[in-house]
Amino acid sequence: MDAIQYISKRLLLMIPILFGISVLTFFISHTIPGDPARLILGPKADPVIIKELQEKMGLNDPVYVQYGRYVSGILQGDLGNSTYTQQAVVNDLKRYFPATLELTLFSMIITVLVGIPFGIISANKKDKIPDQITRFAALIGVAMPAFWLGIILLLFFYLQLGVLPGAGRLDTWVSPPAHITGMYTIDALLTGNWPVFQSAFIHLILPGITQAAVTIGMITRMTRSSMLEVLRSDYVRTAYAKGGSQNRVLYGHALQNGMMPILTLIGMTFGHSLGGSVLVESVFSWPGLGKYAVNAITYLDFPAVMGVTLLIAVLFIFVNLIIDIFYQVIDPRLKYE
Amino acid sequence: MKKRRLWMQLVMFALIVGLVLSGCNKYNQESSTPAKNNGKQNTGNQTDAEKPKDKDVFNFATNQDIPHLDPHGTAANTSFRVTYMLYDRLVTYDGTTTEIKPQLAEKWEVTPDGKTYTFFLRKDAKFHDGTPVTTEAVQYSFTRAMKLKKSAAGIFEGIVDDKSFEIVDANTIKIHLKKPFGPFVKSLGTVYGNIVNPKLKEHEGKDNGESYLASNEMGSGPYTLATWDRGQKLVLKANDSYWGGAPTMKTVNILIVPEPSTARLMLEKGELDQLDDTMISPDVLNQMDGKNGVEVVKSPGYQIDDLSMNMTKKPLDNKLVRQALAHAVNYDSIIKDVLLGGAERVNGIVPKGMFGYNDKATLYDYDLDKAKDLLKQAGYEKGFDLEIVISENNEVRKNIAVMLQSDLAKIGVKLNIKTLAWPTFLDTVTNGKHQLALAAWTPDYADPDYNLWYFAHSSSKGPGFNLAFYDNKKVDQLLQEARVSVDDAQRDADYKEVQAIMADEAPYIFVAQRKVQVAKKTWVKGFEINPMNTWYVPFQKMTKE
Repeated sequence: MDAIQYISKRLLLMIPILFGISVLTFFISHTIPGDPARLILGPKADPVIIKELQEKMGLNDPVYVQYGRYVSGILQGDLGNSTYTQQAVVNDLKRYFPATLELTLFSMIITVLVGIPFGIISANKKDKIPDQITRFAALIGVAMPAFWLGIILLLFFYLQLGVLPGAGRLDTWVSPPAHITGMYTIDALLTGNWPVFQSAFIHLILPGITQAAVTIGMITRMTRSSMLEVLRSDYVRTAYAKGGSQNRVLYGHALQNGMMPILTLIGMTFGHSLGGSVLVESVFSWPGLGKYAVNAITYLDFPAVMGVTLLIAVLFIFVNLIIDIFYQVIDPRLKYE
Repeated sequence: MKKRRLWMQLVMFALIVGLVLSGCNKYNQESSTPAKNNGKQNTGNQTDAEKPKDKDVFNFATNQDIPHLDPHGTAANTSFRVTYMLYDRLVTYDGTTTEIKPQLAEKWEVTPDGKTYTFFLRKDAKFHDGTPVTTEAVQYSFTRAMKLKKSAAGIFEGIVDDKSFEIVDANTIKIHLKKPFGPFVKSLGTVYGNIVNPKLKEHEGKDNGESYLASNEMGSGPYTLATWDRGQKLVLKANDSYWGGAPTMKTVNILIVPEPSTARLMLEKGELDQLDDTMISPDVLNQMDGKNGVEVVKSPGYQIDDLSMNMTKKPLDNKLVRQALAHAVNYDSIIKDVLLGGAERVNGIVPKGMFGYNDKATLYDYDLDKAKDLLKQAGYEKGFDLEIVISENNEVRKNIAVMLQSDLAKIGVKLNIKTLAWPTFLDTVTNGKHQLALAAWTPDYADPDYNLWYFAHSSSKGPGFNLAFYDNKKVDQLLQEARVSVDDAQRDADYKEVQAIMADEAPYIFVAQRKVQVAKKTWVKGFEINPMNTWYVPFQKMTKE
């Protein structure tokens, strides 16, 4: 099977997966006791008005009828309107998702740039002081609640030193760049707007580090254990024996072979960060998908809940697909199947 | 050598981080941060000498998102705050009093039968597009609100319909009520009475313009909507040709800061000028007050914390049991230890300070002997188990519930606390599946009709928020009589009687009447709290000095 066939097969497989996810999410979210009409109208709403809105929203139909209506909407490319924001869910996702994607990409870059080298150092210096230090740091990173770390970073860098901003994606006196990708740093670069880029980049630092703290720990530990295994193998000894420099052996030979589990973990954490960064988003007032999803579920805003779930599912599948393709690049012995 | 290269990379990385950080230092000077004495700030000294950098820009933070801006469709306080600034109403609540004042209507008349109101509009009011505010707009706005069948319609349901409006001329309109409604004018001063430009017709589409007005405005208020980055920042710009005079504050940024501790830091640094009154807990407010140029303004409010006792559930159907529970609550301790003085005692659901408040209705005192005695009379000497439901994410309410738990244990009542998510909480209490429920209530217009109809009228049981499922024919009759009367003396007497009856029958325990507590910079002047509208911030009158 060649690559194109493989990819199209995987994409086709997406359909049953998405169908399953949509059924599960739809039916589970509808079992939550509560009345969306009342939540829209507030606790002081008039009972007559509530009844009429329930009727208008089709809430009195059986759940499977409501699901059928939703799916037929999706097939026509309509994700419905959010009952909370009264906007098309597609537009809401376009607005909130880029913020999350930007933050996640940034934190993943930090994770990879810091986590993998630390893991390698740790493995190479097994049981020596650098190893102990990185292992300890990784443990702290994994164990520390992101929420708490965020506040501590704010206290230090924002309140005490005053070098980094406290909240949001931009300073209050800066207007967002023209919407191209929705990621402010990239849009600012594309439009050549340097001051906006600076502002957007500076605002990324603290939330990015906070979110990366956990993933760095995980990647470091994974890299270390994977590398330890590889470093014991014969070909590494052979490479040293042939006079390869340490860097060449570590990064050229060993890392490539030890990369598989690391790559898998990167894919998983990337997908996870996209959907699960609500705490970081809260602390840093980051208007991302996590906050939107939490709001949606609090107000039983079913179209929004479904929209977020499906988007995250599609992304998860894509990230995994890309990782699988990377496997092949790293290890050409693997066959597409 | 090899080792060195790896370390070199790390050093390079550190260098980049360092450079970025030093670049940020510049950011700090450009920012509106007025305080340069960062070190001193935390020692707690008064920094009154601080000066705001930009006096024309106001930064206000709230922790709850703004869902949308349709004045007739929203039920969210964060939206109210904005629509109050974008739109005008016929009448308004202004300053610190809850007396109704003219706004778009210069004056009004009512016929003796209380069924026809005539409003005379001022002639100089203009919508933001320059067209004058006429009676056509008034008719259009109310009929749209009714058609929308959302929050605003609930207020006017059964009182007016699309045939109620008679335009006399461009500035005079008669509103014929379907039945007399005593608090009618007061209800027009709420956010639901906002007047919308009839040009909205061009954007109506199939949904009465709901999706258009959700993110646009067509008002005549002191501010216009400049930009709105959802979930982040909404910017209001002063309407300098406002008929009531140009607003003092030229730009208002409403920022969404979900995490209260972040908002606190930003306020202390001077990056924010004021915080939403709902976001900081009483203990943190006490810590903040008087330090870092922050002051906490306290003012009487109309919010009442109430405990509904579901009278359809045993043993709460027994009046003596309810009275016993009311005597077993250590009110003073809750006010002192949980609300930290930010509240006072109240004897009913009509807040102190409002028209019709009965100061003679029984105020239950904390008296364990009396409570035990009442339980004995009721035949529950050995006590019983009760369950209380509260909604999650409200630290103060949780603490009140814990206090109640220990109080009731003293008379042999074992209280189980059940915390529910907001949708589930609403579903549980409105369907009467609870025994006790702890909630809070703020009226939408300053008349006892509002609170009493919800809490005491039998037609409001369950979904109408009569969560005690209280049913008293006499009370129903008095409320009905007061509602259709325009005789204030009669209404006052009726409401006082209802409160006296309710105090005796004790369907609810009224835990406390809250004060509104707002954290703001000392440099903010001209801020007033209206007990009716705690989310009404009069930006147009406020200054930074």
